[in-house]
Amino acid sequence: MTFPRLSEAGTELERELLSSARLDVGRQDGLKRTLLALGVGAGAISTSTSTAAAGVVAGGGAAAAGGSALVGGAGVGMVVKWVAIAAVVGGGAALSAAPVVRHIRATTAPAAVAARAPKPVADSRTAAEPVPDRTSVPPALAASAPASRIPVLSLGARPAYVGAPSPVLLQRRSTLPAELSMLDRVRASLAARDTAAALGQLDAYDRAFPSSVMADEALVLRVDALIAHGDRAGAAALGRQFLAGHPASPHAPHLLHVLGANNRDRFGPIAE
Amino acid sequence: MNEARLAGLVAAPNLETPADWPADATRQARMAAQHYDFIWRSLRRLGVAEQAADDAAQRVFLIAAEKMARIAPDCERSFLFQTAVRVAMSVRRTYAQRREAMVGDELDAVIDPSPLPDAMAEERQRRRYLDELLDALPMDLRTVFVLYEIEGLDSPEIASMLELAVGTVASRLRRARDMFRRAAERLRTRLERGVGR
Repeated sequence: MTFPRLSEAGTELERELLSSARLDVGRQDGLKRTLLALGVGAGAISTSTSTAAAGVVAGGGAAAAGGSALVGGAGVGMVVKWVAIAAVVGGGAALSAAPVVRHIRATTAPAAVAARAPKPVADSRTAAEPVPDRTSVPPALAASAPASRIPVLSLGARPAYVGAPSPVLLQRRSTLPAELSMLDRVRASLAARDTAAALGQLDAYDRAFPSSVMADEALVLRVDALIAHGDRAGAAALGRQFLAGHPASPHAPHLLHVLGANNRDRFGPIAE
Repeated sequence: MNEARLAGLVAAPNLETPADWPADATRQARMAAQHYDFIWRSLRRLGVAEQAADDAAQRVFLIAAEKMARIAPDCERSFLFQTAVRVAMSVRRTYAQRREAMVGDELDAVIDPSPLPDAMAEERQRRRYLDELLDALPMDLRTVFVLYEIEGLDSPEIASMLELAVGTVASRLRRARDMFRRAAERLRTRLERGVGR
C-alpha cells in the first residue's frame, strides 16, 4: 500500500513541520569528530608530517573516542566537557601545530587532563542503565590509567594506528578537513535559509576541489540549495544526472524524496 | 597514497582496498562519510536532543566499527539505522533522568541555545513542534514514520531496513500517520488560540 506523503499532501502545518526536518544539521565538525573517534579519521585527515606528530594524532582520535564512550555511561549534557577536552587534546591538535601537541602529550596526557576537568555534574545521577557498549572506557579507568594505555583501550581493535602508523598514512595529504569545513558552512547557510550564500559556497567548493572526496555530498547539497532557492528545474536536472550514474547511491532516496512525488517514474528505474 | 586514490576509496564503494590501507578502516571511513548525515537526522527525529545528537551519532559509528565484520556490505545502512534506534532510546532515557535531576541554571545551561538569527530561530521552532508531534508516537511507529515521511523511503525499503514484512510496515505507517495527524490538529488548534507560541 502506498500512502500519499504528508510532506506533500498533508495540511500546510504538516508540510511545513515535516519539511523543516530536512535542513536539520549537526555541528560543523560532527563527521570530522566521528572519524577521529573511529581512529580512521586520524589517518584520513592528518596534516602532520612527522612520525611523532602522527602518533599524537592517533592518540587524539583515541581521546575523542574515549570522550564519546563516556557519554554512554555518564549522561548526555556532560559530554560537551569531555568532548571539548578530547577535541583540544586530540582532534584540535590533529589539525594544528604539532609542536604544541607534542608538548601537551609530553607534559599533560589526555587522561591527566580529563582527570583535572571539572567533575561532570550528572555522573552519579545518570549512570543507571547505560547501553552495553564494549567501546566504553570506564570513567574511573580513563581518569587513572597511564597515558600510554589510553589509546590502546579506546581504539580497541585498531592498535596498529597507535603504535605503528603506516608510512603511507603518514604521507597522506588529504583535502578532507577543508572539504568538510566548506560543506559544513554550506549546511549552515541552508539551515539559515540563505540559499544564495549556500550556492556561492558550493561554487567555491567546486573551484577549490575539482577532484573532491565529498563530491556526492556536495552535489546533494546543491540539489537541496537549488530547491530551496526555487530552481526546481535545475535541481531536477542535476538530480536526474546523478541518479542515472549512481542509482544505488545512499543519497538516492534523499534525492528522490526532495525532488518530488512519483519521482521513480520520472527518474527511471532505481536499483533496489 | 595520493589524493585521487583517497577520493576513489571514499567515493567508490566497490573499489578494491589497497594492501597498505586496512580494509576495515577504509570501510569505516566510507560508512561515516556516506551515512553520517542520515544517522544524525534520524537520531534527531527519533527524539535525541540537538546537543546530544553528535555524540549519539558517534556512538552509532563506534558500535558499527566494533561489529564491522558481521555487517554485510549491503546492510550497512540498515545496521546503522537499527543501532541508531537503540542509541536514541538509551540517550532519551538518560537525558530524561538528567532533566529530572537538574534544576535552575544547570538546566538552562543544557537547554538554552545561543541566540539565533530570526530565520534559524523559526526553523528551530518548527522542528520543536515537529518533535513534539513525533513524541506522540510509540518508537516502533515513529521509526517507520520518520523513514517514510522525512527520509523519503518507500515501504519495501523500510521493510528491508527494519527487517519487517511490508504489510507490517504499512500497518504501522497507517497508525503512525493517524496519530501524527491527530497530534498536528491539536497543535494547530493550540497555535490558533495563541498557546505555545
